[in-house]
Amino acid sequence: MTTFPLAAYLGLSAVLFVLGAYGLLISRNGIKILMCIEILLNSANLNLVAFAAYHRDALGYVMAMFSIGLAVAEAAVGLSILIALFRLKRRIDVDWLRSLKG
Amino acid sequence: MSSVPFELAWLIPLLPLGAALLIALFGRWLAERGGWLAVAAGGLSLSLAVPIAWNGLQLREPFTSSFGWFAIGQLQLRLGIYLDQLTALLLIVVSLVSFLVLIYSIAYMHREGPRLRRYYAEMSLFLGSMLGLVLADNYLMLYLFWELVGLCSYLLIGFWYERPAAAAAAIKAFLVTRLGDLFFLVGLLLFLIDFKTLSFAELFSLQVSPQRPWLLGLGTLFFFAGAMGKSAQFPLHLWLPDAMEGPTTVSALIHAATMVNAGVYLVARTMPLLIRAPVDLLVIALLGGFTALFAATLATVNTDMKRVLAYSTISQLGYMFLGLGAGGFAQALTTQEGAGYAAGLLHLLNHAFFKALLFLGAGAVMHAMSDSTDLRRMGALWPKLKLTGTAMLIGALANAGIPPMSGFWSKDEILAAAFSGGHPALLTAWLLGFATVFLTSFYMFRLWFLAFAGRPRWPEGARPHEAPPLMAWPLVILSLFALSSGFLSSAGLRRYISLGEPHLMPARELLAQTFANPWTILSSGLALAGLAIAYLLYHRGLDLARYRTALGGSVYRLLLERYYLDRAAITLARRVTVGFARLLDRFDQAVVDGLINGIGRASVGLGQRLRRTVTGSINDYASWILAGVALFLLIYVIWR
Amino acid sequence: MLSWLLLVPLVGSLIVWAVRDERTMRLVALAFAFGPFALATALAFLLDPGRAGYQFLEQQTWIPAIGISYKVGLDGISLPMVWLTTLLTFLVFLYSRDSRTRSYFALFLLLEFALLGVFVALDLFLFYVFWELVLVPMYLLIHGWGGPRRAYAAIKFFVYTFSASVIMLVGIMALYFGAGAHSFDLERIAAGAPQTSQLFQVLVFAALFLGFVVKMPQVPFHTWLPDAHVEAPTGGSALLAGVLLKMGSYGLIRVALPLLPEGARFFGPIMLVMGILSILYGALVCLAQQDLKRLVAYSSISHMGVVLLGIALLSQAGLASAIFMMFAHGLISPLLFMATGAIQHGAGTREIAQLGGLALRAPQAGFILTAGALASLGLPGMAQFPAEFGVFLAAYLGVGLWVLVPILTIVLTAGYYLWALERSIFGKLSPIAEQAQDVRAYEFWPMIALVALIILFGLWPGPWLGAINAAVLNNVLPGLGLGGTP
Repeated sequence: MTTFPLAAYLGLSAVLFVLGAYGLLISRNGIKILMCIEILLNSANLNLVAFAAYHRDALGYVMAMFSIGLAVAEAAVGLSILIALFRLKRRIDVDWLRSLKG
Repeated sequence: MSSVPFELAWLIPLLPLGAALLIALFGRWLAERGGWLAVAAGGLSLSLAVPIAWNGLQLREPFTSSFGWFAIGQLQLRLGIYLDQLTALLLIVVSLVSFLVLIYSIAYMHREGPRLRRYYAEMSLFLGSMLGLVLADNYLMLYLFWELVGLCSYLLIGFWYERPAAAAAAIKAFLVTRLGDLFFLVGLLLFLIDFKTLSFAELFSLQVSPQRPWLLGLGTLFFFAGAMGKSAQFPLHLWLPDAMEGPTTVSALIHAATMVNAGVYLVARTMPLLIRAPVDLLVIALLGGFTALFAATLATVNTDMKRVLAYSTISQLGYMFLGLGAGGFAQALTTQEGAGYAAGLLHLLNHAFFKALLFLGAGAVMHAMSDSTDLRRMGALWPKLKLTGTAMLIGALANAGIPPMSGFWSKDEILAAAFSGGHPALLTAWLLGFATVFLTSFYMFRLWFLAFAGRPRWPEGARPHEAPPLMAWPLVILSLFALSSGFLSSAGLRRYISLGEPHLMPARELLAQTFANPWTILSSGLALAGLAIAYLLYHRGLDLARYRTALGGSVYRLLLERYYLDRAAITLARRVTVGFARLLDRFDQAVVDGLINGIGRASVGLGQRLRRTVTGSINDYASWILAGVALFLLIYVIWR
Repeated sequence: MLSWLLLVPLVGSLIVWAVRDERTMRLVALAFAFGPFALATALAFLLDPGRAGYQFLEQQTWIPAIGISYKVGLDGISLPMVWLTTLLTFLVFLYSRDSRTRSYFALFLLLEFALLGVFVALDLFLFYVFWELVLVPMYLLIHGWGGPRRAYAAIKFFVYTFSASVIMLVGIMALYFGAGAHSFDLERIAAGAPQTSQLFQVLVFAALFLGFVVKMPQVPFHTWLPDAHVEAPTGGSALLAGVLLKMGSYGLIRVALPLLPEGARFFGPIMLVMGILSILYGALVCLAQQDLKRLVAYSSISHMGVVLLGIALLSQAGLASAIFMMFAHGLISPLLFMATGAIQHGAGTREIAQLGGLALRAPQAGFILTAGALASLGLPGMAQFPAEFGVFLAAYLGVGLWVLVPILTIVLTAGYYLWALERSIFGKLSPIAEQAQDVRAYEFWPMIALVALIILFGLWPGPWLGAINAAVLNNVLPGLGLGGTP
């Protein structure tokens, strides 16, 4: 079985992170933002798993599982917020959410 | 009389003080709103004071009794009584005159109604404080009562506080005397720090600390500054004429029995220390002589009966200081007795009687003339007010120092002591005092002739009538004292009141020697000349206008304006000080507070700018977060 | 014993909040104000003035990990302040009868709790907690029951003194680490702090001093005070002037001086100048005031200057007299504030120019105001005289004839008070005074009680001064490395 070096995983993770961050900054669509956050989280998960395999330490897997669980909860909450907002205004973009403006 | 123990002297001030408290609390329900209680307390004090003072006069060593009051750090301060000849003399003067004034008040003040409660409470407090002052066994306690006396004069001068003039006179009296008091306070601190005690007994037996010889002179000079305020010596005399805004009985009490005597008493009390600082004594004598003349000139033009008497008081007090200064100086530099000391104190005694008489007489005149004190509105009162007129005449003769009335004896001794004092300064003071003799006689008889002789110049509807018995009797008693106290005290009391070993002579010799002295004859002549001129000007129809032109318009005006000193003082107080205060207040608002509010405003302004960064857009926040993370990473990479 | 003293007002505050019925609430509030007063009076008799150290000590570990404990105690320095706090709260409750709600009384009890805590705390952390806790009820009292500019005054009061006390907190932290004890216990810090370097002491003293001096307050940090006083309700002013200001000088004496002797010596001249400046400045500004209450506020600055002057001299006489001055001023200034409050209540204004002849219509108000003014201008026979006399005595020892500057200011003090009296209650009757009502009975008797106490402590300062003297000698001077000097 061919094994890729650790750097390859990390590189992939970095690419995923940059993609996620970029999407997060530019997108106005709430669904897109949520998806980008998922990508960000998964880039971190990939890192965790890669290091766990590299160091042969199960703690990394545990953390990754934990993180996935959190991501599920987060997605659920985020989506429900979005649905609530959609019901309110019939929009899913977040530009109008500016009541925190100082 | 030996049956009265000295410890009972504690009760002498406590009785009137207790009466003051009772009247303040329950006066509403007492007879005459507490007036009779005040009289009773005054009478009891008097009946205690007379035997105690009589025994006190014979004491060889002062009687003291004291207990601890409070401590500052390691310094213990005490309360106590100190009884010697000086205290005994003052006890009699204060309690006797005050008692008569209180009796007189019952009739004189009766119309005041509910306010009498305040009047009698304050009068009793005044009397009690003055008695406490003369009995105090240390300077701090003396200062305590000294201030209470000042407080009472403030309250009583402002008795009719709804009159702006009375309210202004009260504050003036308090502030001017307090200015002097503060120097007294500094003197106290000097003594307390350097001698560790303020008790008379300990201070008088102390040796001067050699390393700071100036201290004694400075401290006692500060004491004298306090005395100047209370006894209205130039330039702190400004308050006394205005103090006439109070009821006449209050004036009588202030001028004869209590307030103004406090200063003289303080200097006399400090004499054992002052004779170690002879320069101070010269200052005292010179200032006394100057004030005597200065105030007498002012008395010659005033047309307000009570103010003439007020300037007369200032002038007579000047004599007392002249006597004390000259006597002390003689004692300090020579071995012979400083006769001026005794003369000054006897003058205090005589003055208390005749000045109380004059003021109570003036009160009777006011009573007759529906409260007017304007001499221009009187005249020809003699047929209507024979008793008051006689009393005032006796008082005027005594005040003018015409033999054999009381004022003559002590004043003459004072002048003699100053003349033989043996220092140019004392001779100058003597000259001032000698010139004052003429003026004194002139203004006293000017007053008398304007009020009782000539043609009536009464206001419409005036019906002069004689005073009721309660006012008349004190006048009679005081007249007897004013007639007799001079010779009796010079021949009798003199032996107890002295600095050092008294130089005594029997009564007959005293008479012979007094009237053989050419200066005495000259001064009596001067006094008679003053009387004669007053007679010519004011009885023989030479009226005010002529006198005015005779004196010269500008001089007359200068005197009428009181040398412009009052105006200068008021300008200094109201314009300069208050003006500066207003400026400072504005500075406080604008700069000091402005700075603080400025800091506040700047913070808010900064916040206003920063709020622009808070857009509310999620994307912006996310970019900020990312930028922050990137920045920290960068810093980490660079510094690693 | 002391914990009960703290607990009673705290519990009272909660209970008063809970009681619905107006009449019962007042009675309950009065009872809970009287309790601590009775307790404090008992403590005054129980305290043994001769004993060194603190009495009625109670100690309980609180947060042991960082050396914080609940430690309270009493000595001759804190006792007068404690007694004053309970007395004034009680009198204010008697005095404030109309249009006050439950929260007013509850906040006052909370304030009393915090103030008592400041004066009995012997742990710096505890001290700081109480110190800041004082701000909350006071802020709410000014903001809730104040005059027209109450919002401004309240926020100024809060932010100004809070900023200063945060800097003080830095000083306290520095003591925690610097004294080597890693404890906030005052006595344990006292064992180590005086040996620290001069630079450390000066810096820490500066931080503490700033917190304390803003509270006192002294020129030029004083401007929050007139605003706070003018806007605060009368009861609030009484406690503000009577007790809150004393927290500053108390802190100096209790914390700053004995822990940081070198710092104190370095700051001595600065405190001296500041004290004298405040005396003079306050008195002068008083002359220009138009509002009686503002006048009394500035006079407080002037009188607290006397306290700072006494402290600055770092001698037994100076410190003891300064503490007695704090006590005397704590009786006199509330009296004056209550009198102005009563005048406003009866006449509808405090403007000096609009009153005039008031004593004709309101003789009782005139009497009280006159008595307060006379006490405040240092008349012998009233409580302030022994204190001022002692401070000036110590000042003469310390600075020689320079003492003439503060002493001659007394003429100014007499001047501004008497002038204000002349214009407001004496003289011709003004239209406003014509309509005025006299003091109500429930306002009159608390003030009379204060007048009586002022005269009592003026004629008989001996016992209090004795206890203060002993406490200064035993608990402050050793830290300063000084023995008993006059």
